[in-house]
Amino acid sequence: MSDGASFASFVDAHSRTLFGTAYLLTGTTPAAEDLVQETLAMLYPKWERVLAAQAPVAYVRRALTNVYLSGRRARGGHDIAMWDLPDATAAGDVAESVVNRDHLWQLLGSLSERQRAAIVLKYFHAMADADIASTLGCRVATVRSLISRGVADMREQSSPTVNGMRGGRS
Amino acid sequence: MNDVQNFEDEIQAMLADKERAASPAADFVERLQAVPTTRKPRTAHRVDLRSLPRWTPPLLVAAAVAVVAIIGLAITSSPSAHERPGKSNSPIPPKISTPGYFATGVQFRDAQHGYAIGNVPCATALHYCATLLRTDNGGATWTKLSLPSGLRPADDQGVEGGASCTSQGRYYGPCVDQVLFADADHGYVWSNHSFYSSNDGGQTWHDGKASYVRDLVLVGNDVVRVRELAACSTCPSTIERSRVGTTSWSDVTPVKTGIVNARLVGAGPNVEVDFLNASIDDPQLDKANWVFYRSTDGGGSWLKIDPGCHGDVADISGGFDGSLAASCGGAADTTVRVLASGTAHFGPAHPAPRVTQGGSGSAPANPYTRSARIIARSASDLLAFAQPNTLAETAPWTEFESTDGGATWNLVGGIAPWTPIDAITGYQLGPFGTYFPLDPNAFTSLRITTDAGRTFKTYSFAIQ
Repeated sequence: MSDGASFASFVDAHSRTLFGTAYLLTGTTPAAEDLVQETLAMLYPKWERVLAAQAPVAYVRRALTNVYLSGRRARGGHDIAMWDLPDATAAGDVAESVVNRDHLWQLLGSLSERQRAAIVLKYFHAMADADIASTLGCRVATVRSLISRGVADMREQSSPTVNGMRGGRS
Repeated sequence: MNDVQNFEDEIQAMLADKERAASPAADFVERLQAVPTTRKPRTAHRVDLRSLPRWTPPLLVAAAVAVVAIIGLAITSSPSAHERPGKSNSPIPPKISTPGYFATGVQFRDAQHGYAIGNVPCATALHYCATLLRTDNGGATWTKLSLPSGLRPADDQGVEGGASCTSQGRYYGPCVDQVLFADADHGYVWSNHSFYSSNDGGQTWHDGKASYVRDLVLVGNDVVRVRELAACSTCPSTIERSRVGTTSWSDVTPVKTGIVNARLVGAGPNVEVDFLNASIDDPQLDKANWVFYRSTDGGGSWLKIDPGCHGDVADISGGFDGSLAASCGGAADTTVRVLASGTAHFGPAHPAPRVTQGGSGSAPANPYTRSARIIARSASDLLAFAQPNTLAETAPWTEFESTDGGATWNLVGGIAPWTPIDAITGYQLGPFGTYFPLDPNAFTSLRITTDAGRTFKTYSFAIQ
């Protein structure tokens, strides 16, 4: 199968799941579409490497995560605000419940890109810590730290009373 | 603690909900299909290692023995990604239907004697069988050892991420994915699900009835392990010690409260541990710092140590002579510091090796070097691994060696891309080092170097 044909087949099979990952990382549909497109455009010139991977979709997802992290870093201050962050009033409105998934979604957007990526890879893709570490280019302890701190940050903001945590940020 | 687990469950459910609810524009696939019309295939970019900066002229050093296991398996038949059979109580079928072995853990006691834990394809409903192997000739050939009956295969193959021995894995149930033998008789196999020990070279196994064991290292005649109290990312950890050959464990945790995400670092005559000094209910957990403690008596007493990094510590490693090397990973501090044996403070900071090559297609390389692993073989003899922070994922880790405590660095070679850098595990066998990059995605063999990474010899897991 030619690169073009295999690429087309891959897109048909996996574009939706890649979009899903990109959406969880970026928070908006346009940004997610751009991220998937940018990643595939970067990988297509070396498509044979993608095909040689044991799990091509995992390879592409890994690249997508790197493009997400590196791309945002490269664009620096020109980033658009992708997430609709919660304000103080909104946080108070959901103080009694940590099951408000819209609020959790907003809190996810308030984390650093690396924390968000680690949490998406762990809790959505059920990736092992070592695989997340490989994807993010850090050691496993750093992955655990990213997730621990990210989850703790979300818990802290989710409620001023839940689990003995204080509300607000110091 | 249940609240923490519930909160993590809620995050998982939220992500699934949001992903399901999101949908791309109608022309999304069409736009992706147009990518080849604007980007033509070309030969894959390869980094020329010879062009990497040389920090000093190469030095000839005594040959170090290192074994690099890059393991994987081209799996052609696997259960569906969501297959989760119920618990099986049947013995492990030894029949191997096709060649090939996928290891999730490898350990060498010395350059000749090693162990691998992993899966072989077999004719069972799960397609794979958990298998423990031993080599007595440096990896050239392997023989099978027994494992406790009823174990499921480890699921750490990198397919859809993998999730070895967790409730999110494909083969959820009792399984092991790590191995450590103190000597020919006394060994341990474990995962975050199960923990077993053997006193007869792996013929029979004792169920230690412990879960969530993160790390296990040999310290003299003892083994020291990190165990978490439950399955969550912020659950507290304990440090426990056991005399090799016994099955009892004593708590040697250096800090009785507020120890999260503990990890054993270093594997010399001492034991070092790092952890977040915070409680899971601490509102400042997200701002907690990593702290390091060292014990020179197998966990009987501990001394807090401070490498003095400005920012995070990327890695810390204990040398065979009792020295300690730290790699600082902060944005403004990428230095290496060494604490010599018998001293209380780290020496001067030296710049860590850096690589700036990389980039792919239209994406330029970023000169920032990712935080790297450091392995101390002694106070003067160090190995460091660095990776250019490219926009793609294909940049190889590059190995550097120092014989003067990090003051100067010599390029050794390139560790293959896709190598989880944390899987490069330092072993201190006298003045020699051993390390193992594991790559479930791209490699199907065991690669061995006897010259600290300059050259490699490839072996398959040839099971006798």
